[in-house]
Amino acid sequence: MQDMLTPLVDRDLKDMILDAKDKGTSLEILGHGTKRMIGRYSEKNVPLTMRRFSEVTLYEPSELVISARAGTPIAEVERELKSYDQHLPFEHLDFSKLFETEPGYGTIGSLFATNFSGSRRLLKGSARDHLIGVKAINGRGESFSSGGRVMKNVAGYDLTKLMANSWGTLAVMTEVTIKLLPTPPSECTLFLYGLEEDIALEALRSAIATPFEISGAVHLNKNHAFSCLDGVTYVQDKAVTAIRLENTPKSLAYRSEKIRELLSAFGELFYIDEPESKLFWQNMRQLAFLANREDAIWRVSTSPHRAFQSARQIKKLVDSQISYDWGGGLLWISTRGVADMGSSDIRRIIAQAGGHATLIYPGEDATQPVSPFHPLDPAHMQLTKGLKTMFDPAGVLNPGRMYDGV
Amino acid sequence: MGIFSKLQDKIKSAIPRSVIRDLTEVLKSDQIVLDQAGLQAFETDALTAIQVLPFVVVMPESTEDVAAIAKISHKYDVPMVPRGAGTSLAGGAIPLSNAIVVCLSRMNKILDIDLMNRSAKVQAGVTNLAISAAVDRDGFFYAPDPSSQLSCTIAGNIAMNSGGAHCLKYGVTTHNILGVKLVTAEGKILEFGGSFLDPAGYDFLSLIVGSEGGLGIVTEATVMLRSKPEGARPLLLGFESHEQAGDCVAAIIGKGYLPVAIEFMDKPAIKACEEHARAGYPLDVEALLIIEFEGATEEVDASFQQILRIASQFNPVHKRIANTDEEAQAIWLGRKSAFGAIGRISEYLCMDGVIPLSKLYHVLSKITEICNSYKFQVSNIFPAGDGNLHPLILYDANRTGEFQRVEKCGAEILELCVMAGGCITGEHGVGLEKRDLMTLQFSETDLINQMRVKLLFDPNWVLNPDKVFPLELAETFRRNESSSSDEETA
Repeated sequence: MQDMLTPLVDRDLKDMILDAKDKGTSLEILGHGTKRMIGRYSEKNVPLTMRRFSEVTLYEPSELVISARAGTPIAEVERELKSYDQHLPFEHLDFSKLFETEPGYGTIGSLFATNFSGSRRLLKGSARDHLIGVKAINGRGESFSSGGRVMKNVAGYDLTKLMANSWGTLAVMTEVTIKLLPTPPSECTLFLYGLEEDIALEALRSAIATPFEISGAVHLNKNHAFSCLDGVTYVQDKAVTAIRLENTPKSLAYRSEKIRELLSAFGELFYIDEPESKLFWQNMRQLAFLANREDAIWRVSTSPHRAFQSARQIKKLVDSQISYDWGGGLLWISTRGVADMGSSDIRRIIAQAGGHATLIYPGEDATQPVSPFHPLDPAHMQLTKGLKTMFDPAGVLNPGRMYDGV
Repeated sequence: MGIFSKLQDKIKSAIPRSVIRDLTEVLKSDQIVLDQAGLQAFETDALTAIQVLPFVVVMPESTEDVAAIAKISHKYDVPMVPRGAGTSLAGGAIPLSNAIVVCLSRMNKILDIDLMNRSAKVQAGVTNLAISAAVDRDGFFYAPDPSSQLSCTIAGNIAMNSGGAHCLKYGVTTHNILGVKLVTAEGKILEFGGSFLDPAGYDFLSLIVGSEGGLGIVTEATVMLRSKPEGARPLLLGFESHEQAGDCVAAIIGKGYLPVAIEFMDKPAIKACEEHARAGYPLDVEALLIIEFEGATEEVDASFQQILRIASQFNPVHKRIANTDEEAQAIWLGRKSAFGAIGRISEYLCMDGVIPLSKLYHVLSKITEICNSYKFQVSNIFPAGDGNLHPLILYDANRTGEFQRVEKCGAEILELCVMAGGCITGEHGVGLEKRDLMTLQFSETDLINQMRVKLLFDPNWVLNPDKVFPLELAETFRRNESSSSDEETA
């Protein structure tokens, strides 16, 4: 284990990057390391943590905007927001249960660098969508900024959103500015039990197509459902289809009744009120349904209406359990006992349907190395390598973290 | 030979006749505009003060046409200026005299409406409003709604990352595009994203949206469709001061209410709109807010009650709720005819700076001061929820030197916006108009990092080459990059 570099200010970080560049070494860019298990890992990279870059630098509740240095704990940002009933609307994923790490960790910079948005992404957009400004240092040791603190800004190319999902391979973010939303005053969830997958997806589609602003639309298979229903009444040993509404109590009463009428043909709808509704979605955000160490776990973004066909083909070929988020646009697949974790079949089927598959966790029995990120076609790989060269020509920042040679 | 010296040579030399010959080999004769009268239709966009007659205009009908045109541009090193409907207020589609203008208006087909996926695949020359119109009966719409939505194209919206009145709730173009097909400077066809969320790898879509035609020519787009609300109605509030109106907006948002739109109008704007549209606006107030909520009748009513309660702290002297669709339309009628109404009075330059909401009062007073110092009248109408100011500076276009003066006045206003913590453009884009003002907002290094992205996509700098980046800076950058790549080769 190499000594961890711990820069405190921009100058330190810049020196460390330039030093690595001069020596021909490379750096592993970390926050708290909560997502270190995801993606590729290289022992050659010297670890550098941004955790000392920790401070909320601006919070204007009336402008729905907060800025924080990149190493600020997400928990601290959320604490600030809570006092003004505001929140990060994209429901970022929390991997602590999955990786058995201490809950409540993770830095705001890593949240955006990895762009893992949760169930509310369906209605409110991704983490990337809410990133409106960054300050960063690229692999050449240049400080640059993009965007700012205002939510509308089209001056120049959008390097801000480019930083999202770049996994620290282009530049190290030193400060992020985020567009916030008011926390909805109340929420409820409607459950349908025991639906077949295709029927469940149809029910979700019908709900999403209404004007009632569905902020969560998931279908969990029977095995996955069980662990998300901890603390929720009306538990049945069946698959669960869940539809979330968030609004004022008056609107919820009206809208949930409308949805109930619309979906009555699909079966009985159970009304789940707070705090149970909140608990269910917290379990979703913490991926409680995937937390066992044996299975390999895939996160797949695809076209919602092709999701069922793709899932059926995958299940035919790979021993797997599949659940759906984003009304079918996101598949969570756990596989077991397959040499390549199902990689070749899953990726082939998803590529045909449109979309991509990320291996979040290879499972305990993994024997064969598999690319965690969906392989890119030659044209996109060429552009990807080109972009990497523009920002980090010497390959100092997280080389190999996403793809070989990037 | 380095890129820079090659470019210099290119500018010096006249465009070879063989460009036209090659174009006629890949396009039908009615797809090529060469005659003086025909070219004049393309000499400007909505920044009408600047006109440049293009060398040739081509009207591709397919992605393959665009690729063939790009290959010709690449072969002869001739610049291309992509154009949608030519509604850019920033001069984003203004030609170069030595460029091929690639006008996408014939590529106006909706290719696939996929309601199951809540997406639509369209050719890039389709108009913004045509998409919403095509899915209206099914209860869906395409959310970004720039004022020019009747005529502006999706290609232009993507180029400029256009916003609109409803972006407070639904975001701007970059939040509503799932995928694009792009023709590169060399004529290759690439696809990014698709009908799914959050594509793999680097977020190339975020670069392409808002790149003002500098990275490639978008020929197709997959856009996100959203469910239409049950209803939408506005509420009108009049205040005796800008400060009260501004504070009221801040209080509404701070208290957790997020209307779908909040429009702010100052006294000159109210007067012009009322005289033009007879919308029933009060003429004895200094500022007017139009606040719109969506939902069922009872939901909107409930929101109005909350807003009136919050607003009461700021002493609104005029309150009017739209109870019916007709009343809602009447309130919006004035606002929507605003630019036309002011255009009847005088020529104007429409600015597009953005400021943090908390600085609204300070900035508005300063804008008045700046305009007074130039002896220009100014009128303010803008979506206040996001702080995107649109001061309309009125000037006499027939007086020599006035345009230069009004540009200078506008630059001062944008500098003020940046000083207040905002930016020089919220939704119109940089184009030609604000190209030389980019350094107000960005450091040289910031811009170099952006230009490296352009260089990656457009190594010969032929795509809309004179837009977005200050010319001198871009030339120095290209010279340096060229010599460093020459060194590497050596």
